[in-house]
Amino acid sequence: MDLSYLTQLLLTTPVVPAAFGGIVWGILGGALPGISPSISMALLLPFTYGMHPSAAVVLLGATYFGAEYGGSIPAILIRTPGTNSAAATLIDGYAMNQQGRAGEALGISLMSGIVGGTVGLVMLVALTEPLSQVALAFRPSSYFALGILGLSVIASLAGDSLLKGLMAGVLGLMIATIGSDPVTGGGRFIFGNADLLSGIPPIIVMVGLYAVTELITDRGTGVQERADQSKARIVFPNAAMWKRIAMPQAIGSVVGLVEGCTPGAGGTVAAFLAYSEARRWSRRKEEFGHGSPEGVAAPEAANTATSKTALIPMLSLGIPGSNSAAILLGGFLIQGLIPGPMLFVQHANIVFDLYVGLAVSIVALLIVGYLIMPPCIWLVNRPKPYLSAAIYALVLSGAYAIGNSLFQVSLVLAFGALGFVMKYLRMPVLPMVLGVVLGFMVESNFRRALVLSGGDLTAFVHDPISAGLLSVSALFILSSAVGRFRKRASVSGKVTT
Amino acid sequence: MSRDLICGVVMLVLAVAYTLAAAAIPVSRLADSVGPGGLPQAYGLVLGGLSVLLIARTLLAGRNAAVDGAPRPSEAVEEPDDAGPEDGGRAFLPALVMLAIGAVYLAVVSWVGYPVAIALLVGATIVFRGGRRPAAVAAVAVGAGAVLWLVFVYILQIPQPMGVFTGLGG
Repeated sequence: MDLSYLTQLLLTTPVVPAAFGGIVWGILGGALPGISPSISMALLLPFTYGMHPSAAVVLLGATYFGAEYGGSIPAILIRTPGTNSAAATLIDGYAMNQQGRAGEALGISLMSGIVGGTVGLVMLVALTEPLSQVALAFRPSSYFALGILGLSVIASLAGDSLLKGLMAGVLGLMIATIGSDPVTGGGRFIFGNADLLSGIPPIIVMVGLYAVTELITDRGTGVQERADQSKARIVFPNAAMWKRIAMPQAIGSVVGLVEGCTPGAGGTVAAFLAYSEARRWSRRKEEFGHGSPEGVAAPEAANTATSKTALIPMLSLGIPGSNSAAILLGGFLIQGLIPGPMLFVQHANIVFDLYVGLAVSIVALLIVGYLIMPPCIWLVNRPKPYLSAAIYALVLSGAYAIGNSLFQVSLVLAFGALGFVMKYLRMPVLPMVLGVVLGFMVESNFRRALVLSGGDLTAFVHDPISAGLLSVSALFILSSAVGRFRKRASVSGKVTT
Repeated sequence: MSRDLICGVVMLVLAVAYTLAAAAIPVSRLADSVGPGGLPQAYGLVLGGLSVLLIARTLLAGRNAAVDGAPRPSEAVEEPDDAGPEDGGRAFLPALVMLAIGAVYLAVVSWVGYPVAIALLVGATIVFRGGRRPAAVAAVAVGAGAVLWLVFVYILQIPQPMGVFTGLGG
């Protein structure tokens, strides 16, 4: 592709407006609790009929990218993860907001999204073909091990009571068993309620545990309390901050790359893994969970990188690794384009146009992300009673939108109550969220692997990917346990002296 | 009773109930060697075991503290920031009222329709959280109902229960 083609593409086709439009729509969709990236994309799908093919796929790809970023805005500002993956950003992003550093958190989130998206795009262009082979090598035993690797993060994210963290994680796994059995399809723990047959969507659990719990917890704040208006603007990282968040961004980008090109892993696992790894390699571990900029940078870089790298198996093999990638696949099919190896031969120009459009979407994210922040920050600085009411209304409306069911709204309220009780009992909610997200993946692949191996448990060791991932999981757990033991020993020593 | 002990007991009861329910899941002829109840039973047993450990640790720590007057290990490393509702029972009432507002919304939305129900929810929440100017409360409640209805039903094309306003979408 020469320069004249690129100029023509940018100036005469609707690729640039599509990239900007997708980013605006994606940020709005991602920021609304209950509107996932895939729903944002699905809502656009009918409008892509009759569109220029390149513009259509760029519109959907940019929406995916924008939505993955947009989820972090309510996570930081109102403790409501707009998307599943934003739950990891929420931990430190909201803590920064409570310290009057919302603008700083939003700036770090935006710039980390730009970095993650850029790295993801470079990887998408450079590695689509070779890395697609990795996805083909994954078997059920490998996916099971991948799920265990995700769960091993609990050991480092459990807060100060590992025992309670593990209990919360198991509770999450239990919640994930509600619904149809992954092998036989029979109902489990549904108690005759057909609404439970399809299980409990993780976003319902997250919105309940985070947003509703926060809303119903009376913090005794003043009626007219507002944040300092001088701090109510986006603050981009300075040189010192860039130096500090460079490593977590790199970790997030690498994790996003690996998870993105692994079908089924997704941005949520990537975000939590990146958060855990950033904490492990940080010199300021103790700040994680209490407003660490690194805790915002790593998951944001990871989930936005995933929004690009998830296209690797979709483009090269025609395997949609996530719901969003499946919608994008639908967008390709609407245009008569069939993703897979032949796409690069028959429609190489469309693939090139997509790459260019995704690059434009990164610039669009920077501009739109910057412009959209002031009104967002202004909104969350309204008097608390009005703000609480607006969030409550938004959360319950969004919960209904997830499945067009009032039952799901009641579940959101129930999980809000559960989150409140867990707070009272000082149980961390994060391990439960991980359990809910990964439970189905772990159980279904564990059982499928056993079916394929005739019940032979050594299948998990004979599969090299599985063996590698399980070894890494064991190392994670061991290093966390040793760290905890040392911390406990030092605390006991201080108490004794 | 300490919060750790309450936590342990509640989780133990939950684990027993869940394990019994898992054991009662009928096994289909299509089932694999693990079966639909296999992993759930394992989860229940693990939760039960962890609960017993937490109860035992709390009781032992309490006994040691009584003997030498030292703080219990779990308290020594507990995070004050994530401690949750510190004032115990008093924090539960506002939470219950907020949940009740949500429950009333759920109960009436199918009848009075989304715009009215959401306006009522907004108004009730503002008043409960301390909003005192009736005109402002009413204006915000009605405005929120209209804006959210426009955003969800018209712009995003996501239907909401419309009750008596069925002709307006949903």
